[in-house]
Amino acid sequence: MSKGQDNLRHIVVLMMENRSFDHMLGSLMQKDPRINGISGDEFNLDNTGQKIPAQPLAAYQGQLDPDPDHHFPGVNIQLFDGTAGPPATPSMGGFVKSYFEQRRDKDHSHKIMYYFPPEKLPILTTLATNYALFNGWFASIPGPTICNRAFAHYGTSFGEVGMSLFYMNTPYLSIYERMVNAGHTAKLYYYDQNSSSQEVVNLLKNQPKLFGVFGDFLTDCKKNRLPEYSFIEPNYNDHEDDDGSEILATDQHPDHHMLAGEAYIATVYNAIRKNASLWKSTLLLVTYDEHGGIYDHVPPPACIPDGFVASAEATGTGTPFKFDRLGIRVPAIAISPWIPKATVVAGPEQKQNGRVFEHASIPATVMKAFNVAETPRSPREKAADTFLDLLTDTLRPDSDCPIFK
Amino acid sequence: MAKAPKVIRIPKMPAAAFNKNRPVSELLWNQVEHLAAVVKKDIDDERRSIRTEGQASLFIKKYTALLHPRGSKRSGK
Repeated sequence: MSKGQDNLRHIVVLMMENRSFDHMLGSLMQKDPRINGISGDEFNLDNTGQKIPAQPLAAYQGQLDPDPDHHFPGVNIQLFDGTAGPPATPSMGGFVKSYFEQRRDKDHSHKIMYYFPPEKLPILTTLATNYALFNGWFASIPGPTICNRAFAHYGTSFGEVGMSLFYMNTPYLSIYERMVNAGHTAKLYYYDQNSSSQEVVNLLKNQPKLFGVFGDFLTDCKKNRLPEYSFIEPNYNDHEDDDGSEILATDQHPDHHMLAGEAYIATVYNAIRKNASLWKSTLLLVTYDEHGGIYDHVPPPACIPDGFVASAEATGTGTPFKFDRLGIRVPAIAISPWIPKATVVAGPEQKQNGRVFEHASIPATVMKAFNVAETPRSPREKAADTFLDLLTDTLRPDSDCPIFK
Repeated sequence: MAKAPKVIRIPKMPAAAFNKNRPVSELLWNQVEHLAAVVKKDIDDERRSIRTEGQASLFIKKYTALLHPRGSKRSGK
């Protein structure tokens, strides 16, 4: 076990909304060729057969309206356009055509190929280039928010590929319940009551003690009472506070302002970074639940089946789904002073040593980090790669770890 | 003297970013549906557990107060 792992006392996960890897971080390949991003050769054909390249023209707001399709049938088009469909290797060629279907506006459909130049996302790109960036972190399902977030909480979505999820009579406990049952501490922090928790309403009802609000997270960081495992939700909607002040959504879901999310990520990082003992004993993971219908060039790999099957009716594609392939790639960054600067975790682009992660890697890593006694877990969680090995023997000096102001 | 860490500026948001009149997204609509379903089940469970006049009166009071908060200030006597 490395010194970094030996010193680990807390894992914190911040899961944002609906952005693909290439859209957010693909531009970094121009600075570091180890990063599997945009090389300049990526394109999709539009509905007239015109070649539409990926371009660094993404805007903070007002560009992705309507919300790009990220339901199972829509993602199927994005993945398999021009192929016979699964089990063929995804072409990643149907993003523009899928987006065209929503507004029937050719020029507008091209915007699904836009990505951010690094200077437009200074917080995320600073973290990506200062800590560990995963080239191969994928959404768990080629589908929408709720079923994907379920993999972070339960290691499975219990056979669901959509948005209507009620966790009743399920065979596996959430990672929070598992931690608490084993004598550990765990908490979900949602932003505030106007935003609430997105996907675990049953848990909110039955296990309210597992929850806190974002203000509690900040206080817990300051007062050294952070649980061993924390999951942070962003603010999902623009609303007014009790005193009438305007609170911006911080989730980066289209069409919320991207910079509000940047500031939120910085606030979470700073809360840990500015407490010296917490900083040395915490592993922070920043990731996104799914790609939100936005272009990425890496075909998601196959994975072991989850033991559940979604019916042809549920998938909406005419074909059942065995949870045997992953969703589209999303940004994921592991942050700790025990991680060497500019670590790039190779993904499927490296046939020999490439590693594949998905949201089931989160509960799998937490179980391993805190030696939680074995309890029934989904096949996907049991097979998921973990990322504790990124923590090394060397603690980086304080001056080597940036702060945000 | 110890070297100071690099400071990265957090970008400022334009005031126009706030829009509470934006049409509700499917994500938020699903959240509303989930909350409504859980609360509805709560009410149904509560209703079904009533056996006595006292329990009925507590249920009636709770939901009357929700519909008519001013009623709590007045006595029926």
